[in-house]
Amino acid sequence: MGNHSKTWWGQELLNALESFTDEGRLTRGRSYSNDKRIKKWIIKDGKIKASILGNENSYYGVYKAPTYKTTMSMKHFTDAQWEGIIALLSVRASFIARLLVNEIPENIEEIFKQAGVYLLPNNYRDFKVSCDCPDYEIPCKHIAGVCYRLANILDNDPLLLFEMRGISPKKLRAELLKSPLGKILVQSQNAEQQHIPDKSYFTKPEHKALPKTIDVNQFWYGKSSLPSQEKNYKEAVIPAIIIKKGGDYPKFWHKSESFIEFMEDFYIRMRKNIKKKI
Amino acid sequence: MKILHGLWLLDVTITKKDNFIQLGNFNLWVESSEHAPKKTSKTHPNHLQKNELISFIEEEFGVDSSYTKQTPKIKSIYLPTINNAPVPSPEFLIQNDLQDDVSLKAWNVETYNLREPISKLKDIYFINQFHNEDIRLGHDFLFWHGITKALKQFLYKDQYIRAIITEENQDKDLVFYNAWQIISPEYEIFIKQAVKAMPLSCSQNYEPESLLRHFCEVLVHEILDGACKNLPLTFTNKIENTDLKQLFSVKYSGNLIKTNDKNTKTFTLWFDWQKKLALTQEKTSIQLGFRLHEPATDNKNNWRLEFMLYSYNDPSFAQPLSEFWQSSDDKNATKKILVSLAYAAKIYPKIWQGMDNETPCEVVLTLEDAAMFLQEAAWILENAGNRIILPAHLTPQGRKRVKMKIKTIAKKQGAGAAAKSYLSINSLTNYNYELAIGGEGVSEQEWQDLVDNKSSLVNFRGEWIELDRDKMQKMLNFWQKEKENSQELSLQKFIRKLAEEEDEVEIDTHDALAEMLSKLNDSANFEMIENPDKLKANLRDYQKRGVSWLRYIDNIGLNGCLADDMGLGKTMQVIAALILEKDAGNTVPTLLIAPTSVIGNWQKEITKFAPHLNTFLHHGAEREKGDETFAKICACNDMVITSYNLARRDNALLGNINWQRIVLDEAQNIKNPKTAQTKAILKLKAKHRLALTGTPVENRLMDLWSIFNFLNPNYLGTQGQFRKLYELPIQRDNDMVQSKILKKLIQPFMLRRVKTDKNIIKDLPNKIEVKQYCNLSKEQAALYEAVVKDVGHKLEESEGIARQGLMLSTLMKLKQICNHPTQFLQDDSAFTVERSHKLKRTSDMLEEAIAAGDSVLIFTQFTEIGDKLVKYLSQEKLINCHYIHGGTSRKRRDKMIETFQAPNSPPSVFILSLKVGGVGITLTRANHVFHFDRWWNPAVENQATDRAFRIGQKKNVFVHKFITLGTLEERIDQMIEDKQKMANNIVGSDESWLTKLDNNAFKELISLNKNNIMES
Repeated sequence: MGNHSKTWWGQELLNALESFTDEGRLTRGRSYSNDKRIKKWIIKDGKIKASILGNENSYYGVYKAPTYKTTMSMKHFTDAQWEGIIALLSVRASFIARLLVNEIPENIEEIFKQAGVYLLPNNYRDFKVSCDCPDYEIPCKHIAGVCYRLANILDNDPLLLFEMRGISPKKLRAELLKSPLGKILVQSQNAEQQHIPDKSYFTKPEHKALPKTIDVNQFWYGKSSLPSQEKNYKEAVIPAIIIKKGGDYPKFWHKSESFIEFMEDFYIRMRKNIKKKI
Repeated sequence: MKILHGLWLLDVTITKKDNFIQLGNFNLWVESSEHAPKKTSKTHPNHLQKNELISFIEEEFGVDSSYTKQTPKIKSIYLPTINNAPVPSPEFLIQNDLQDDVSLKAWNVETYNLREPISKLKDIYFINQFHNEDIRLGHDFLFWHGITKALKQFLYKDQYIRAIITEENQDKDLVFYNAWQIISPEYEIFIKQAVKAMPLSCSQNYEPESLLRHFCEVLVHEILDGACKNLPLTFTNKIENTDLKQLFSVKYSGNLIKTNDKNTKTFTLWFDWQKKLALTQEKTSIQLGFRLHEPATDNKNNWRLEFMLYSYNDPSFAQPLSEFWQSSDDKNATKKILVSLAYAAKIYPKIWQGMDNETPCEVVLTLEDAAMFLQEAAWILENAGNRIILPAHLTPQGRKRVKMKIKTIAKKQGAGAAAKSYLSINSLTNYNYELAIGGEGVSEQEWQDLVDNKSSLVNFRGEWIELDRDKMQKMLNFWQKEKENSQELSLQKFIRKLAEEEDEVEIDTHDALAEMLSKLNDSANFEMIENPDKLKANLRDYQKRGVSWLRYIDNIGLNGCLADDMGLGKTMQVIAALILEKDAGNTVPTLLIAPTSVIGNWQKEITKFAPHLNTFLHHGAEREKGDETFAKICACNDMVITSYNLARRDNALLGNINWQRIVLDEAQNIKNPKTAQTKAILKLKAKHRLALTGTPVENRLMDLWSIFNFLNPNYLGTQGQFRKLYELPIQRDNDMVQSKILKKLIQPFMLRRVKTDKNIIKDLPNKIEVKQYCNLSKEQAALYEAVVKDVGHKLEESEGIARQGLMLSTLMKLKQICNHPTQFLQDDSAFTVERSHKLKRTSDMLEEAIAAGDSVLIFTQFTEIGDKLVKYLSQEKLINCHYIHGGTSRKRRDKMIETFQAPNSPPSVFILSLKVGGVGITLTRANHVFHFDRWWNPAVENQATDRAFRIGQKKNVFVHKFITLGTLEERIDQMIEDKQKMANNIVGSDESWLTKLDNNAFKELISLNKNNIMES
């Protein structure tokens, strides 16, 4: 089965799906996860409601491309369970820090295990699904499509997985606020940046009134000398360090190859070209 | 003279979308000393126009404009203006009566649009180093050049990203542009520093920071666009059919990104990503550090990486994170630490493992982990703004290196003789290789085991070391091939090999050759000689080491260059070495070639400090020209002194002698290898060669080459090879690797101590007095003699006040003659160096001091001399000068002092008449004081000297007193020095005490010793 998710948690979700679905249906399901097929997509109270464009199918007597209503949810945990989970999670700096940078720690199940549950579904009983298509098999290709789409979204929004497991964003915040480390996570969620358009492409040179009288020397010499740059001429030893700080597979990168490797190649090539120019 | 100026202008011809993209372009204009035809009242009266401008820039600086035919554009520029005329740039060094209320006015200049400024400014700057002094770079030009130079580092270090700029269009929709963004905390620091250094000539009527950023951004875009445009298909194919293709394969960044409903999301995500990256580079007061600890036990998998906390604001602050958790509950700090840890852990995921608790402190690493950490993660973490602390022997500096150790093999001659002879420059040295780590020999088997080891981090003889196994394999292969054959190299080639292959080979530290090299590379390794018995002076400690060095290089047959700073006493060291050589039985003479203006000084110093050395001056119209007689004369002298000029003219005569040594004083005189003079000097035969110079030759690499070509021909290759290998890479491209190699190549041959060396400072008193003796020119001598003759008669006839007046006026006249004939004649005749050796010597020394970055005070009693000196130095020698005399207003005086003292103003000369050098003037920036003429009262001179030596002066001050040989100056100096002969109370505040001498004593005082006359 081909890789469809870039993150380990997205992949786990798909693995669960694959374990109880036949391959042909999955393959077809994947083609139902794009925008051409999914016409409506709503997540509310941990439940997905989607409208999916089906195919005409003379065998079933369907002659005009129909739209099917598909829903999907996972087994929700109780509030008490969640309270225990968040409390355990908030005393581990690695979990908070990792969520801070939008990732789910690989070992997160350790926490859920202590509460007697598991976060990522691993069999069909974890899913509650419905679809009004004529196919009586569960899951049908439309449900599979929804699962693929969900896995995709989870790559970039891992906390959605918590919501799918029954804790509302509001409740999550309230629970997190109970611990010092949790508070920090909440704070950073609030600090999401806004789009402020740039004023100009390059920094705009601002006019400044000229002094009425001047000191001739200061007209030619600045107040200090330029700092010496002699020691700074070394090339970077390791390429693309800046990019590496952002981590691999940023949200806009949809390929399975590493983005960092792509950018390493970019910087090495650029440096060669730059050298010719300067 | 012409001055090249640079001007950054906003582009008004191409305006894009309500100036959202405001481009700019770099322009050159040329200020000239000649008048330009005036078109309008706003036309700058002194600048190059039309074809003159174009051909000047394209021909003088090789700017190629083949792809665009240039037509000069008229631009307006604000310049300081007085009396409705622009004030000439400071490079003209015209002494203006500067008023304080200088205003700025717009002038029209014709400009040349310079494409590709980063590379072109570099080329122009480089080419200009070889121009005669007639073309100079303006300070505005130099500022922009400095900025372009600094920008390169951000490009070389990948500190930029493809960024998206967003604009809100008329419909209130966001549109996207491709752009480039420099992301680096160093960039922000650099901008802040550069703004302070930005002169008004560059910022003009713009807020400096905004204009500077605009300049940097436009230039960086140009370079990166050009580089990105040429990325091959193999690269762009990787993102074929993705939204990102629009970001990586565009010709020009400023075009709008084509968006649709679907790809907008991608670009928005990219935008968020770039903002977050910028945040990771932002400096907060908190800095994380990672300290690697070696296993404390035998368990090799028990490495610890400790989390540390540092502060940008307080460099001394360091705290293990474990302590932070115990002592602090600062929420804000906790968040910053967690976020920083998360970013660090994303780079190096092992860190997560150390964070499975509420208070992360450290993570335990296996051997394999630690090896990986050292190989890459540590450096990425460091570059991402974290501090990395490693055990000293695992740092790049302290690390034990794998190298091939060179061992020399003494030839199998008689043991004693061989040991000595194989260390001389011309003999060959046999050597073979040994494999070594950190200087310790390693057997082939041991080496092979290390190469085969799975980990790059190994415990080698009890210490953890990091090894590059690929390199070790290569070296092993090489060694296996070479170990059988012993190699043979000359000492010169040996030094070259060690310098050029520094990464691969090292010399066995127990080797005699290694001992020799380490000695040569650090003068502190030389034992001080005993002060020679026959030297009538006490050498300072560094001079004793210098003499020791001179003797050592003679012994091993190296020809060296003594390049101590001016004032440290090179002459004295050479004299001492000659004494010791004579003591040891040498009878072959040394030939000293020196500029005419210092010959007198050499003679005087030898007679004063080593009167038993026989010297012979080969100079003047009546000099010996017969080969045989000359050979005879040479045979009975220890030193023959001649000038550069005669070294050429009498080349055949001098070439007949096999000299013990040729000494070139002021060796920069042979910097041009093409001149007949240099060629002639290269032809002379000698056992040893020695060059003396005080100018920092390392700044002018071709001069260095030429001096080395005299000392050790071929050592630095041909001129062409040297240019290609060192001069261009180092001086044009700032190649640090080549620069380091060259330094290693020349170091063993060069002894250069500068007055700021700690070792030198402790050997020096705060004030060092040096006497500079010079001769009278023929013209001066004739005038001098006439005055002496005239006064001889009159003196007998006059009495009382009249006699005193006559004596005083005679002293005055003679002093004027000693300074320069034109001062005495008062006929406005040429103030040239040919007419006065004193002026020539002063001028040469000033050039040397300025080249070394030093500032100088010159005292004279005569305003006529002050006037002439300032004009000569600033206009002929292009030295930055200030001058105050009795008529200088208080306000102007203060202004000049302030400018001179300012730490960023260029090294300058300050001329003062001794009388106004009165109270309240502090000129501590100077570290040389010249007394051009003598005041016959030491107290007055000392008071003047103290201008440069006030509280707060931390450097040593060299006081140079100029004394004309054979004249009253020399005699009075002798009287002042000879305190026994002179009751202190005679010396008054002026020269009247001299009039108390009787007639005969006075005549003796002023009489001329004709032996000291010297033709130019």
